[in-house]
Amino acid sequence: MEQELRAKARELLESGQVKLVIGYEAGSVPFKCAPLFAETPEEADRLIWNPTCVNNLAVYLPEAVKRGKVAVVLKPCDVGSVVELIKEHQIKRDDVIAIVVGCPGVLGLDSLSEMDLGDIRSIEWRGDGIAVTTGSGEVVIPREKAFAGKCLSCEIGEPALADIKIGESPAREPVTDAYISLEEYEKMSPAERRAFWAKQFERCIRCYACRAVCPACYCSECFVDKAAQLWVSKSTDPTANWFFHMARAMHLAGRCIGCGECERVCPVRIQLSLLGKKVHVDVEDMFDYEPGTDPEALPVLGSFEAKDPDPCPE
Amino acid sequence: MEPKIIAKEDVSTWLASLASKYEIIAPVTEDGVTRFKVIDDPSSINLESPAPANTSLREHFTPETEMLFEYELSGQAAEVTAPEAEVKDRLIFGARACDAAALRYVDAVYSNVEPVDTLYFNRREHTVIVGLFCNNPSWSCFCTEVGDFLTNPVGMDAYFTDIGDKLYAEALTPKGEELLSAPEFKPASEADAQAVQEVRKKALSSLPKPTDHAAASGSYDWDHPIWAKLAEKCLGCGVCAFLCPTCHCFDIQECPKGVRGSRFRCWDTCQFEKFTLMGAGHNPRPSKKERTRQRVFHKFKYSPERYGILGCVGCGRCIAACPVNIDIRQVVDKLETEKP
Amino acid sequence: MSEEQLITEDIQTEDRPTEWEPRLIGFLCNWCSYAGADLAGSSRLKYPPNLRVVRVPCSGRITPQFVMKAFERGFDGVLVAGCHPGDCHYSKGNYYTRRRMMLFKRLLEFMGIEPERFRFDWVSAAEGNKFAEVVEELTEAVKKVGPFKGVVKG
Repeated sequence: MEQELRAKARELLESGQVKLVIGYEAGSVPFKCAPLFAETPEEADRLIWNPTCVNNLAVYLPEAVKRGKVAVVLKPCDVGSVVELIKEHQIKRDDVIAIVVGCPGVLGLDSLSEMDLGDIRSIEWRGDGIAVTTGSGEVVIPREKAFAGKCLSCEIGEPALADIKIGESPAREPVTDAYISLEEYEKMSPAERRAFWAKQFERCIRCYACRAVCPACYCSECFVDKAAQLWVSKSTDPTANWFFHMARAMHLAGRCIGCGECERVCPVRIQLSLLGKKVHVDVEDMFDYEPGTDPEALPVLGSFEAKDPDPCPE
Repeated sequence: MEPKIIAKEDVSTWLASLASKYEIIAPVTEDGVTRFKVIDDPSSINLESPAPANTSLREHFTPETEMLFEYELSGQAAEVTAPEAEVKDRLIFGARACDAAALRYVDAVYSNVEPVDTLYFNRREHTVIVGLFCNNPSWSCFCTEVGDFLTNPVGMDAYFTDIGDKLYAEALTPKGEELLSAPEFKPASEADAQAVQEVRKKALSSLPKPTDHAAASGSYDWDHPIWAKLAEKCLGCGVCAFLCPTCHCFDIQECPKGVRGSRFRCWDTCQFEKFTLMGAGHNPRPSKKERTRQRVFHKFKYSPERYGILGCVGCGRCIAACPVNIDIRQVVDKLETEKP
Repeated sequence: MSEEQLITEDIQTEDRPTEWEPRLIGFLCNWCSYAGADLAGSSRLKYPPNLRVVRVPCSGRITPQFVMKAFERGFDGVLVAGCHPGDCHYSKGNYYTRRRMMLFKRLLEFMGIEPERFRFDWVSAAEGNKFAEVVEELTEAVKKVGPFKGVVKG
């Protein structure tokens, strides 16, 4: 797939169809990748596509399209972000050429926890999982350990939009328990839930990495940064942290497509995906709405239906 | 004082005996995150925790949120009460050489101009630091590139090295000597010293050679093409700064509740867009290009120029945590080798 | 009875409780629910005095952040009331409120805030009785779950 990707990117740049190709390139170490902004066909040759390509590159689009037409490499899960950006008029459909790559799954936070990271030479897909080449041989890691939780429960079939498709995602059985089990969580009593979140929010250092990496968080002035109407204190008091995360969850309701980047970048590993998943499930259940699928749809909280759930149903 | 050893199984007892005198702060791992926390139970310390911990010691000297004063207004008058200066004596156990060395740098910054940061120095005075050598440096560690404090520690009172079932202990200050006089410590043998040498050699073999970045930074290019490249991928998330042990910038905010309220300071970073936003609307660092450059120049150029100490201790947290793999080692290398 | 005993008896009526009383806040839309509350008052309907009212032009003005702020500041319960669907003074404000608040209610519960503490309902300008009922029900429900100890504490 890598060769095909490079060829397509080169073609797009050579023909002048796009000003920029945003994709992945090798990182400073073999088990990480870095975003690549290729402006020339030579730079496009650095594109890679392997299990280290975890980033959701859609986050760069609103800024990047100011340079001209942009091609962007997208995993099927990232496509939803582009749909949402188009839906919310942050980019135009014509600004973007979506190169959707077939994806067996990408690395999770703990995928390589049993490895000596300094010894790793390369990582590639193999069979159902991945093969890690090290200085002392090869280690094969099966799917359940190799991939991020979101990958194990992935049910994306056809991506919602794609201008170019490179490869096909293998058909796989979603391991539904893998991501986050809402059922387990919902067994907790209110007091237990408060205690759970107290522990999570005690850790939050308000670095706002979750906000910075999220393609849906593109507001030029975030509610947190407003001082005139002080919605939430900048202190790291757990109550203030609660306010930030709750409000952010509501701001993302019906817009979060579950790319999991927020959880990946959190330096203190707060289980942010639980919040995203909850609002996602509720939005689907209550309004029959699936974010990241239809660029023509109206935003879920910016529209309504007569048959919406009502506090006093007749 | 001659080097000592303490059996690992005696560490809990030793710390428990100090609990009446000191608040013990040590690395604790929870949900995959290792942080330095105040502990009640010495057996909860994770001595095998990866180096360095996920977060630095910064929160124990300048807390993430620190109240400066409280006020109550009545008419035109205000009653202002500052918090008590009373700080408990603390013992930080298991600090890494990089984090201890970073404190020396922050000391220089906070005492550079009047008024000196008394809240910070009060905590410094009340803290004893016992360091732990890094037997297994992380893939992102590069402290040896920017200093030799891993083997010649600074900023700590005693330095321990893990040699299997015991810890080799060296006192570095009178306070350290006092600690090592506890009955749990026995004299170290030749074999112990030998074991330390082996452990040190092994650790150093995976770490980079020293480079004089301070000297090289004199010729860093303000207009190097790398800044535009970094600006493209940097998300401005600020995680690098929030985990950095030498970072020390803060914002001052208020928490008003009618006629009463408090003023506090909280961590801030030059990587945030609004950091240098002026009241009139001008922002001297309007884009990520200026901000990423600021970070590198501050650590590697301005700090040696101003304080004679490099502003980076090579802990590597920024490298491990950066969501888009901006590796400061690579950046600095390019600045020093790629001269357009 | 002596004069002193009469005065003491007067003070110790059921309207002057000696135990904890819930502190409630209600966000009411000007055209319907606030008017409904007003009607309850002018009809001299008896309902618990625990609710403090914040009047907004339309229930659509109410962002979840208002409710969050109330809980953050320690209110024991929150009421959000607007016009019935179809009757909004601004045609459709309350339709947006409905989606927003029904979703938010679930999220609040998810975060461990007892569902009894947040009430979202419709009260029209003619429904003085309903308003009194709603406040009565909310007060009783909050009394049962007890004082609010904080969004992440207790």
